Amino acid sequence: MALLCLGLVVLFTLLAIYGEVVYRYHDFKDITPAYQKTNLDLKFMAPSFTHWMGTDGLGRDVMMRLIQGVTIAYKVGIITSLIAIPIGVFFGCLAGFYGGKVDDFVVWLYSTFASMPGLLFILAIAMVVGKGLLGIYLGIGLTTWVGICRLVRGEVIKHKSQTYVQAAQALGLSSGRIIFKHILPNISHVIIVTFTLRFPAAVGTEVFLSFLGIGVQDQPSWGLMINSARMRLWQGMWWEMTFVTLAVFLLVLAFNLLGDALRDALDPRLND
Amino acid sequence: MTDVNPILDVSDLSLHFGHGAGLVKAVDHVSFTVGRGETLALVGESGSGKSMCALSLTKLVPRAARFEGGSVLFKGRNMLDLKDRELSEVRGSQISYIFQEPMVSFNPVFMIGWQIEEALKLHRKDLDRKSEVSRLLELVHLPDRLAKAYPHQMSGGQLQRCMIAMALACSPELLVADEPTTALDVTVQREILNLLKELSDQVGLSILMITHNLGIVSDLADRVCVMQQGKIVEEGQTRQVLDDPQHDYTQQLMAAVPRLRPTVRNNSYE
Amino acid sequence: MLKYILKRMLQMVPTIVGVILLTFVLFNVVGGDLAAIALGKKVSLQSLETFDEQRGLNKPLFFGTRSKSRAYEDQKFSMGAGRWRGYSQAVYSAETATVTIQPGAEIDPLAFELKPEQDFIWTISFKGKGTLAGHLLSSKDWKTETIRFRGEDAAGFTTESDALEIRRLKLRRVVPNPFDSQLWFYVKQLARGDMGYSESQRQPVSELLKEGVLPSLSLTIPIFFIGIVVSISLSLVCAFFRDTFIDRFLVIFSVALMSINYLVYIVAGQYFLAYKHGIFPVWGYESAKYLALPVLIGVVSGLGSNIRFYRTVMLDEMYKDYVRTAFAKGVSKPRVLFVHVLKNAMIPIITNVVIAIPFLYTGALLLESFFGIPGLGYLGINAILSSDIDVVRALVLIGAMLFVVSNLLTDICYAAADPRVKLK
Repeated sequence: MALLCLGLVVLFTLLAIYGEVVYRYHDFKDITPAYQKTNLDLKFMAPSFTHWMGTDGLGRDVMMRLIQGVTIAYKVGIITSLIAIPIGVFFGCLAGFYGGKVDDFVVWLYSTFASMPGLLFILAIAMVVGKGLLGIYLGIGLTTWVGICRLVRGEVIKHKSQTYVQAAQALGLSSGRIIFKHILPNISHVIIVTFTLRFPAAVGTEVFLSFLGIGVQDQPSWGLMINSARMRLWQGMWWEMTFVTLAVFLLVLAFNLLGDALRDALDPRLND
Repeated sequence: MTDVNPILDVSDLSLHFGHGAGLVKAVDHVSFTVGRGETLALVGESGSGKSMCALSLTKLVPRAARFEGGSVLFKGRNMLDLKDRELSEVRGSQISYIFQEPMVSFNPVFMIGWQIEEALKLHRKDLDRKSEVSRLLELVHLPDRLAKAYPHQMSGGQLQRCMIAMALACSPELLVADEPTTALDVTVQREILNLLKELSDQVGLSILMITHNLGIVSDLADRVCVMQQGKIVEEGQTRQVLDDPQHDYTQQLMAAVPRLRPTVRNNSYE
Repeated sequence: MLKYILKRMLQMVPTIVGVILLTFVLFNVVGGDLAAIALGKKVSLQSLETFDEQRGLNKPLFFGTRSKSRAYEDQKFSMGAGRWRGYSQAVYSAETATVTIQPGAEIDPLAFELKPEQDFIWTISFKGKGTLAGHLLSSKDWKTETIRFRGEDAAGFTTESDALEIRRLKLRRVVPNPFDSQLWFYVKQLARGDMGYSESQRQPVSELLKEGVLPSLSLTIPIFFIGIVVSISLSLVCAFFRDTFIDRFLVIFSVALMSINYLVYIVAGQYFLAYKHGIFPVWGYESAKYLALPVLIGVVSGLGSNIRFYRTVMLDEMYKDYVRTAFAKGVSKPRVLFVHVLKNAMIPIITNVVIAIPFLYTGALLLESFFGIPGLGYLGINAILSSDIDVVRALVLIGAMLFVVSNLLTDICYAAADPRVKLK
């Protein structure tokens, strides 16, 4: 089961890289990529050998757009992690290691962020920052560091009292060195598992935001595709909707199961 | 065998965990008996399978464990063949348990009195339960007001007394004490052991005592079985085994007992 | 108990302050030009100024004696002529990054009339000769001067025989009380219970909130309670049949439910159950029948993660020693599960349940807009799409406050459910 998920994740990753390469190539050459070319003669074609997943309302190939959607999903998953995880780890380490006033401050900071109503807060950030991917990155990135911060803080507090840390302190190593060279490697599994589990959540949120028209503007994001396919569904064009939702489902499922498997393998004590 | 009609007759019992390379034979073809009114001690180091033996008697073993043959005859009935409902009737009313860690063995969100009463409610419907709870607490030398206390408000020694009160609630015929004193302070250990001894003499209880402490064995047990890696390696009258251990492992256990003076072992507390 | 509650309420204060600060930072600091976000770029500067005035946005952020005015917005001449392009008597030079006012010109750079009773300050770097706001400027070399004047005395540039070259020009309003800042304005507004004014709906936000609460609650309360009952029952089923086929099926089922995007539930539910098969009405808010499908979707979409969470909680409890003790005294399996385990599991369950309460109020964002239920979620989505700042801010703020309050409730429930929690 875990291997199957890993396979799916690898497949999606390859598709994402392929999609990015295609996008960069067309961007560099400054030509309209095939997945953006409208051809009204071909609109609403059911799946066939030339268009495996059919075409959409502007005659664009659904499969090609779907692959671009993977790229965007990955960008969101990775970039938001690059924002949230360093913030969370940094504050978590500081709070756990120094305790006292620093800890009070960090706890105050994350309980304030945790109090914010999740999706609405992300939407508000995206609205204030402006439509587009940047808004999504910041919205998701700046709201989801709380969970990892809590986990890391807890782990650091646990490790701080262990003998290897006390030994390092007795040797007179600097606090920074103890935190980053000694404690951090020991809690890296927490970070890996969190990454795998927050990835699908970020993807889901991106789909949602783009669906609302706040996220991605001119690239084929899954959210946008669902939005356009939704109305077509009522007219009987089922393929775009089906394949997009299937893709979202498989990606999220694969990451969820992989995350669970990783968690069981790396640390059975870590619960939701 | 000392008793022709033992209350408990375990024969050829095997209990395994895992499969293939991970196979652990926690209990491996073990046989022993406990006679009426007799105290049998099951001795061995941690992991030797003695606790699993004790839990097997009423199938309280963890879900991952598999019975691989043998029988547990309690008053002639094979416990391993009983259904869940029939087992529930035996547990508590005929075979009672005392566990190692009193601090975690009580349900933290119910009052002690309620938990003792629950055993009564299940097995003895005819009683005035309130007064019976007071009687039981008195039996283990605890004040009545502790019935209204929660487990976290009591000490380990008090809790272990409550555990004994709960175990004796329905006048069982066999008491299984799984390391009843290991988690307690040394002075408290003594009190609990004295209490058990007093009660077994009063009520004529059969006791299966699981321990790794040879001091307890010499004080309480009539007979002793020494277990190592799931097997019984030596069995016999307590005096005989302790004075003249036959098996290498028993000798090692004996040698490992710390002593203040060589005579301490012979001091009895009667 | 009362003492405990009071103490916990005191502990809420820093978080509430944090929430207020965070919304302030998000909207006033990060947001930048809120008026432009809310009204768009095509409206007059005057109406932007009015927007700022109403919301205190023309004040300094935290503290200060000067604040900007939209009547003349700062601009760098190195970046272009900006609004000076419109004056025929002024010549812009990109090379020197300056504007030269020709001799004999009269130019008023202000976009609208300043408030007559307020004080303003021009800061100007110039060369040449001319007047600004009645003040004579004259210098052969580059010189920077500040001119303080009252709004009623505002007057533009005039030049006579000489040209006036300008390198830098900025207008500041003098703030009489340096503490009269945006933050202070915001706090005062909240203290009054004023939630602001919706630009798109032309109504006070508090009115909109009042109208939206009932429809939202009529949707979210059924979702909340049905969701709890169903997911706890199913997790008990998991715990009872743990490691059997039923348990494994439910685990896989819940992961699958979790992995389906929320959008898909709504789109598919509306299409198949309402449109295709006509079991439910497609859209509207007229009778209880109209709520059935959104409630169903709401329950199902939350089921996966809840079952998983409750199951983990129950199984964690099942492995504790007190369960073995209960079995050892002859308690039957259902009784162990429903009496012993459930009462212990209630503690984490309560947390999970109470924390979901703010969601009841802010409504189910998408469900409401898809099914046309005029609640707060619908309001929120529309406000976000039309950049209705005050509405969004009010919803975020209320959501956060409710979260803080539900945290308090959780702790009180905790204290009631768990005898180990010390009240002092």
